Amino acid sequence: MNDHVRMNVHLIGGQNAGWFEGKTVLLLQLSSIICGSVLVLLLCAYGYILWDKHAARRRVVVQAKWLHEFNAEGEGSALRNYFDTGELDSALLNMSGDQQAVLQGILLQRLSQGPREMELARIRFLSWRVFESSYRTRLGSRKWSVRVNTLLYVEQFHMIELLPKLEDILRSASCTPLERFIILRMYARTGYMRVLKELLRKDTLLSDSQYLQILLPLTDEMWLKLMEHFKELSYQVQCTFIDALRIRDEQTDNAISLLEALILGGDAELRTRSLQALAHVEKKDKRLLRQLLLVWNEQGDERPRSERLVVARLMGSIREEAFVPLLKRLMGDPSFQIRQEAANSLARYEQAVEELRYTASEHPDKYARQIAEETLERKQYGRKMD
Amino acid sequence: MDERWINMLRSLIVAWHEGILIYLILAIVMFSVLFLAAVRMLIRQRDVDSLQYDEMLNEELAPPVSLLVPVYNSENMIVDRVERLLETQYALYEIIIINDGSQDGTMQQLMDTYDLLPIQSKVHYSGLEREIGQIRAVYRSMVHCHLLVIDKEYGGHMDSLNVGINMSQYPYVASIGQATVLERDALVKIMKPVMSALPGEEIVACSGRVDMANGKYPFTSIQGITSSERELSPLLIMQYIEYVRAFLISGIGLVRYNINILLFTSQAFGVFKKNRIMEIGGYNTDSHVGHIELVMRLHKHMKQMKEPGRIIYIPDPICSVNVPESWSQLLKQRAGWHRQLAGSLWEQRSMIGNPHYGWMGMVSIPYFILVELMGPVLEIATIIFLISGMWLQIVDVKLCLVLALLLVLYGSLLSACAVMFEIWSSRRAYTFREVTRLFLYACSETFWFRPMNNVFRIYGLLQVVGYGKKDSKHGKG
Repeated sequence: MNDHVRMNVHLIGGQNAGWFEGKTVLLLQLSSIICGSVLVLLLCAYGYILWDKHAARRRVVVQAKWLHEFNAEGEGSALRNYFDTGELDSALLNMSGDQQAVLQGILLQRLSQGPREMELARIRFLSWRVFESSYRTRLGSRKWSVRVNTLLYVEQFHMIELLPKLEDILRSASCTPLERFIILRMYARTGYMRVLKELLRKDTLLSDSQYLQILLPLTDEMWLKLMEHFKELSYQVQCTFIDALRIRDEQTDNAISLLEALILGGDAELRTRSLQALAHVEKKDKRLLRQLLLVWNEQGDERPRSERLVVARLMGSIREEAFVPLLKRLMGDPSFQIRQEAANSLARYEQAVEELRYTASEHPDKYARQIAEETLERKQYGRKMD
Repeated sequence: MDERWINMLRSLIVAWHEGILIYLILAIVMFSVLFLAAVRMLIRQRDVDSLQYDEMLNEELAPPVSLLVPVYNSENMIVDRVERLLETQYALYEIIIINDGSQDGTMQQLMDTYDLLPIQSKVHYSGLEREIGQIRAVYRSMVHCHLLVIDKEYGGHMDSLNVGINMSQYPYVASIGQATVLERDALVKIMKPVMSALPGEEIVACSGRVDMANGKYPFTSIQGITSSERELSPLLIMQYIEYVRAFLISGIGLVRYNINILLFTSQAFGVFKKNRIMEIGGYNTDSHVGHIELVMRLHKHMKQMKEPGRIIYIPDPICSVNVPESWSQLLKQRAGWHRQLAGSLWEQRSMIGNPHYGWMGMVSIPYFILVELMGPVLEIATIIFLISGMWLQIVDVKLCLVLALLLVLYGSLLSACAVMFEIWSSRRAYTFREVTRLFLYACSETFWFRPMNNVFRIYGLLQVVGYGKKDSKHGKG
């Protein structure tokens, strides 16, 4: 054996240099154990999945059978009989888990189709009688998705009897923001006064959209109370409240007074939203609008972009002669959106065509001329669409 | 050979193997952490009822979105694509089709089907402050008032998106890939995080899970076709496994715990906040960068502005794309992706390891460089060293075995874990046969698909340094 071969033979079999000197055997054992364990784990998972799929298939077959039975024509179906006559058969009250799951699906589907009042009442009554007990249990589940789903169903079926239980959940430390939100929306939909207390809290972490979803379905009585306590609301709720005013198209004196007070206030965000809401209102105080016009002639260009945009829109809804020069000025605004909005607003005026034609040819600003041309064409195109 | 030379060679190989060993251990730990983080999140959310999306269909609540759809030589499929988009379930949206200089009858098909009326004086607003392709004409459909068609000179996918951004009117824009098929409720799902954003939290981009459209394997049971109708090739099955793993590990795992480190949105479908895109000047039209570069610039911009903009990845399947069905197509696609990854990272190299960019600069980008960009080189080199070292009998056989086991763990077993989790958590009805096939294919990944894929990606790297032919600017999906 020459030296070369002897050296190679010496090298095989053990790491004798570097960081892992003498540790290769340990590393090998460790890697083998980890690989083997992962493989065994995967094989177990494979077996479990096969079993789970098998069970799921059986469940689907059973549920399909129940679905067929519930939807059966003629006198055989207790559910159909209930919806026709309102008589609750004992078969509907003593249901297995699979039957309940199928019935829940059927009732949710009926709800999504917008049932008539009588049918709606029957759906709510039946769901209460059948699901009340299981929903109570599921609301206490440790699994988050089970709790959230149950809350969504409770809301859909309008189970006002469960409201005290929901209060307990709301008070518990484990209540997540999504659960809190669904509960508050449920309160709002059912006219439960507790929602006002929750809205007045400063530390409820919800998004603007979620607040809107809670505010929009509030009853008139709750709405009035909230308006009275406007100043006590958190800033975020104040902002969304103004948006909700606009979406609900509130035209009461109280609402308009609140908006008018806010558009002359110091907060730019509240001002912008109030202007936006006011643009939808039919009856406006002329004196106030003149005041607004005065303010805008003096400081309009310095106001934030969003506010300029909304004012451009508002001037389109008010259609006061005095706003025409202002709109023309806004058509040359550095922001494209404001130019477009101002042009659209001007297009709503009686003398729009002449004004736009004049702007398209004579305005000193190139952008204003362009947008005027485009708006003129769009007006023509709008007529073609009609 | 001189003993001194043998010693040197031996030291070099040992040092390489030790380096690779550490690399593999770190990669496995990282993947496992991301995988477990994703699994926790999915287990929590997987069963939540779709009733949660109902409010999204209220026009007053959902922010309107402009769908930007660049098309290029799509004569045969354009009407189907538009029809499908028109079926989208969402409160308020507009569809902007951008015909990017097609040389076939794409434009004529659109004209005939949607009764397009040219808008003569449409203002071509250039808020992006970037040169965009020459627009030939802008049309509005007389049949669907929310459909706008832009006919422009050829400029590539990214240029078309820039043109679309310029023409869009809504505060959010959605970019849709060349071969993407959107689910009907895709917009509802993708916009939910935007609507749920808390005060002070801004979602600047959102992307989601992409499925494989070829044959709809193995989801045929929810499509109303039995799975036996289409037997998929091993190549497609492996790509399906890859998509599942990427979705779990790189997608969901990276957005867990609110650490803002997601470096990509899907090129197939992503939603962006328009004003933020405008602020950074829109898409980079250089063909050597991809969507990832835009996302890196967004991160950079938000950090520079000191604003908390986040990029989100949602776990719901929202769209599907056709994936390559042959090795040559796969080579083209993977080389292209890798070229774009390298180009994007090079373009934004100032962010690499820069503490100014926080987790992004210190963790996410180094991870993408080491694991995604350089991973193929390291893996292939390791395999070559393993084989040659054992053949030449100048390395420790036990160390080779350790490395081989780690490679299996890193590739096959992690994929198998991802697939098993997907099967368990999915609402799709997989058959027993499909479960078994997916499991076996996932376990075999390290031995054939991964090395081939690595070769393709290395080819992409070679293209970056000027070797080989590059493709056109129109990427698929």
